[in-house]
Amino acid sequence: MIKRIPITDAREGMVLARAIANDTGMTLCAEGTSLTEDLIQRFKQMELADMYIKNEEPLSQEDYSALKEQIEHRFAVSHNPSSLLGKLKTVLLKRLESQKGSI
Amino acid sequence: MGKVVVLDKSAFRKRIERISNLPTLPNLLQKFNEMIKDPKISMDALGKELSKDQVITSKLLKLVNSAFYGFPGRISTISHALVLLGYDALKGLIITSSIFENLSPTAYPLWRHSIAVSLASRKIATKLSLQDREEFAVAGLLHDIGKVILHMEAPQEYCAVVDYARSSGQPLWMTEAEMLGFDHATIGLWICEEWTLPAKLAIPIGYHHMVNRAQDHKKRVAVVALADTVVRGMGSGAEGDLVLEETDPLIEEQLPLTGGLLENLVEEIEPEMESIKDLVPEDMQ
Amino acid sequence: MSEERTQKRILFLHEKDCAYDQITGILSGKGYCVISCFDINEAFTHILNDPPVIILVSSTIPVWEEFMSLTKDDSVYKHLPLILLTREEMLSSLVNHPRLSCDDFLLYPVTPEEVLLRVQLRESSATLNLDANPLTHLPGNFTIMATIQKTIDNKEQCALCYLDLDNFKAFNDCYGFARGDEALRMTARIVSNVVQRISEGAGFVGHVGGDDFFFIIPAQCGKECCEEIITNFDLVIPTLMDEEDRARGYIESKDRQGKSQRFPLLSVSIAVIDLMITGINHLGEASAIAGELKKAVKKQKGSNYMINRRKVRKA
Repeated sequence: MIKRIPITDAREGMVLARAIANDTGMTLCAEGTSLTEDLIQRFKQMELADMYIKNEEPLSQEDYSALKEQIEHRFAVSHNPSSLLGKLKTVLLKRLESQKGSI
Repeated sequence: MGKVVVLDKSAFRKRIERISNLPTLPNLLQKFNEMIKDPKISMDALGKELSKDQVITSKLLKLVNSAFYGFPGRISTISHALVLLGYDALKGLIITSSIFENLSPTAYPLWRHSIAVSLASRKIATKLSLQDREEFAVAGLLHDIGKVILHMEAPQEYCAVVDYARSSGQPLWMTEAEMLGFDHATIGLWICEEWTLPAKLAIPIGYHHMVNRAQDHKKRVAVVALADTVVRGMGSGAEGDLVLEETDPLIEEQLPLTGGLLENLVEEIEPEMESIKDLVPEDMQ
Repeated sequence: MSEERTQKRILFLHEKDCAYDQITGILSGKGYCVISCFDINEAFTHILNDPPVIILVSSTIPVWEEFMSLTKDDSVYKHLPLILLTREEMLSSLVNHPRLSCDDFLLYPVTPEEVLLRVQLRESSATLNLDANPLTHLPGNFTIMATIQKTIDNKEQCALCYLDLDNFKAFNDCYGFARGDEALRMTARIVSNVVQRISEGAGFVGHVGGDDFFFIIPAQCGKECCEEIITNFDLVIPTLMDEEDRARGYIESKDRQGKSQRFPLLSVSIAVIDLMITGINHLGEASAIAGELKKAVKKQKGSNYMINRRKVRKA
């Protein structure tokens, strides 16, 4: 899952989901970089407003159930797992599953 | 819910033929206005921004494909359009777009959806090593332009259609056809004919819900239909379009979806869809 | 409603409060469809969406000068006749105006017949501009030669650029003349847009005829202009060629014996004479040097340009 956070919520250890570039488009920090205090300070100096981080937080049971239900609803007509729709549904459910925390 | 019948087909089509003042997203338009102030603006940078807006893109293509310029039906990408139109015509087009009414926020999900399908179409084309990715992106961006027309020309009637589709669970395009006599894809096709847009754009726009009826450019239709399905599956359908219908087997015939292609696609599109939320604000709920 | 389409449209830009029913009335009566607008943005919309045959502008509109120069500066729309409606008091300032770019004027108070006659005359003379190339509306040979000579005489720090299309005949034979015309129109647009942008309005573009174009730019812009024209040309022109030909990298055409010949795809060649390097007195010299340069450029595959670096030695 990807989350967009304001710079004020940035913490050490968070991982960038998208590269951060300066005004001229030059990449300063690649995707996958782990944030350090130093980096966060520099971004604040640059007046960076927000960033995309990889949200490794597991989904809560409620969130998981809600999202699963949404997917089921969207794919309600799909009964055949080997049709294109079925395959897509499987992919999405699998992704959701992988984001679930262990209970 | 009773069936609503709007204007007859030919009368509505005539209204369509005279549409030249579609409104667009206010914050996108503001950005374009800012950018175009600089005559030295890089056409690449401008093109990149413009590719997020279906209304301005369709106006650009309409202008550059008009008989007046002398090569109708040839141009299908923004970068080509910019090279042929030049800075002054572009500035005129952007400035004049500002005078029209702003778009109602109820249409914002449609913008998010269109940008997402544009990105997804380009990704699919890239993954399948198809040529002219930008053309696929533009086809994806414009695939639901018919809905923008319906929003503008028949807002109340369209609202009724959307509500009925939502409550009955029937696909939106089918509901449109039943209640109005024609669907948004058909309207899109009329626009393309009216504006002499190339067939490689018109066909995906017109047939993305009726893939097997496309006589030509089948691969392009398949790409846009697939992109539309994936984006809706991931939750970014426009209103009334939230429930998916079974896809046409032609899509799989035309596009080799081997290995983990679907999985890869979803993984790569997800962050892009997050960034769209910045561009097009979420509804106030 | 479809009669609107076949009627000739006149765009009339004037201030809101004034009534021009008489003028509008008599023009409508003679088969013109008059579109009234009060605001230049609205006027531009109309021009872009469906160009009128004539534009009438009243000088009572505050930004009439801006509107006029914007319209006339654009290479696509500048051939639309523009008639200015103005007052006698303004005449002396108009005579001394640095950049008056209308085609004709009318003085208040006008009689409707006067307006009608001017409109009719302008409409027909617009199509008779003999020097402009009928396909691209760019200035033709006379204007080009006069401009070159003027540039040389004024010792302007410019570059004279001669552009033509490589393998154009084969393209025409293979795809037909209609598509050939499209290629020429696209070339005209591409060159005009690049020259306009980079020279910031200081350049000149002409169409000699066939696939021969000519442009003048400030000397220091020479390289940038040529490179951008080539980039843009190579980007857009392939849309005119069939996918199989693009994939193969050549087009096939039959010669007079019926034998199949292969020709390279359409490309562009530019010969540039930098007047700061090459001293020239007469446009005949320019043509001769350009001819030599062109031969050399065309030997190279694909789209290319070459700048003349030799000085002409005078006897």
